[in-house]
Amino acid sequence: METTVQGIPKLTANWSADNTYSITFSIDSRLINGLFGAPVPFQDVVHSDTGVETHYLGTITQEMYQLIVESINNPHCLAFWMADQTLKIRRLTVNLGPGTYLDNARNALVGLNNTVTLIPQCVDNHGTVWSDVQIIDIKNMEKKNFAISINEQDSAQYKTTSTNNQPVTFRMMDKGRATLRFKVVIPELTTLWLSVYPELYAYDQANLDKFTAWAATQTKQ
Amino acid sequence: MSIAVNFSIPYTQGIYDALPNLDLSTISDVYFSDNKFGSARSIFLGQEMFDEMYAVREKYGIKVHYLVNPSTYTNEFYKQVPELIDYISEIDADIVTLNNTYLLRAGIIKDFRASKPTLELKNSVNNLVRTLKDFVFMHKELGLTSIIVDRSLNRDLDTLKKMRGYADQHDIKITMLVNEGCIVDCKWKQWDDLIISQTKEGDDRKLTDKIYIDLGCVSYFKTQPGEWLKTAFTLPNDIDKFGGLVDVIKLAGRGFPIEQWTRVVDSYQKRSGNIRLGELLSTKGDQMLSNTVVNQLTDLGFNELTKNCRTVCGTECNHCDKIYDGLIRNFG
Repeated sequence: METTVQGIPKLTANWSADNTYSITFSIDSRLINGLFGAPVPFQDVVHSDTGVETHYLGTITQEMYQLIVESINNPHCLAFWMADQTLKIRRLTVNLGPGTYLDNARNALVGLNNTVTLIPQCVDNHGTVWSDVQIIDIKNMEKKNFAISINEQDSAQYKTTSTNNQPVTFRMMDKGRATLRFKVVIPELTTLWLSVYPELYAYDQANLDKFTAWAATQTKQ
Repeated sequence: MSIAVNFSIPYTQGIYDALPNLDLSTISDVYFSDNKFGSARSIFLGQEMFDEMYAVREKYGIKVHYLVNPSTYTNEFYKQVPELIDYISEIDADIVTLNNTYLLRAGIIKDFRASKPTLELKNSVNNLVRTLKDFVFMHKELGLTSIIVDRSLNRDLDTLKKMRGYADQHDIKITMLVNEGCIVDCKWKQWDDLIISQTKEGDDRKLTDKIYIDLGCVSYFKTQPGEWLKTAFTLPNDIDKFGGLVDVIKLAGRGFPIEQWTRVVDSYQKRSGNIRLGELLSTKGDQMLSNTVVNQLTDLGFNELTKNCRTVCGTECNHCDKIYDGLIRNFG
């Protein structure tokens, strides 16, 4: 069993209904940063030198296990172990707006007129939008190498902000693949943030025509 | 727009069914080794492997590429060269990688081409073609017109440009291995390669594996995680930096589970950063870094900082350490 707590995310156990687990979390923010197998129950241990507390969970549901694992492994999800012994989840997700589709072959988001509309949301584990989060930072990761007009602003402005749960348009002015970053600084943590990196694709004219024709059939259904 | 480049992909079991999910138009060859003249890797899968590769060639037109790259040769090896030539003909390889510089200098390509005039011969990445002088030597002295350069060139575009200039004058094809994640000038690698070359199926490897894990790069990356970022690799969303410089991108990953193999090839073909570092590289490192999505590294400026850094890590540069610190800050 892993015993060293160094403040770096760790995960050492797979899920089974009979397995018993412990977690480590930040004493200040209550952010969970480790999930461990724990065959024997123990009292909470405070590691004051690293600001981390260890807590015995016992058996956990597969859903809770997956939420904790996702929070440790994935930049778009964070899990907190609250004082009332409940799990608090903050996730950053992106919904597709009108005229926006997933091109499975390219594994990228595409849109009519090469304009993609996305709705970034900071939500809990049930998908309910957190009302205490307002600002969502947006960045065109390609910067000036791939011109994108965000919300009809000048494409030279590759970073901007939007509001939680509001649609944002991305009008791609170059062709090919580009990556975006949505980022949310949450109230519990100002130096660690949620981020998600959707990838967009702007078609050349021939493929855009094909896509437009296909999209027209979708809206008629 | 993405650069025009071909991919040399590793053999792993199940590729025949996985390939339709990928962009077949940019895959030039599938490379493999065996326990005959290869490095006797324990992942050799016998006739089943050959059958799958021949089926891939038949259906998709992807060339079969045989690696002859052991790090040690027996005393009897040179007596077996006629057997090697016959074997290359027998397995009907389209491309051969050969690391033995004596045989290259002897002009063995003529013997290989006796049965297949179109056969392409390449050196091994372990020949460490790092400088323009090395590159010219491989062409002028060893007669190669298809050269794989050293891993360190992933982060040394200035030297690569010089090689490209020479290559253009002499019609030479350049290959770059992009995702191995080996330490530049690794002081363990010669020992690893020697062991790998001598491994036979059924060997008891417990002690060797323990030494490898406890005293080699695995433990080094565990205790100093940022060092993994300093190894010679190029992320999928950065390979267009090789535009006009490289003809073939070689991907490591022999023996990867087919799902991982597919994600790795796909991410390089698409230049996608939505893949975890631990999936991408064939070396193993710190768990937190393994779980890190490539786009997170890109977001911290990794590609810009390492694009042409020439891996002058240590006293001259600590960019990778700073990026690692940026990833872990205040997570505790």
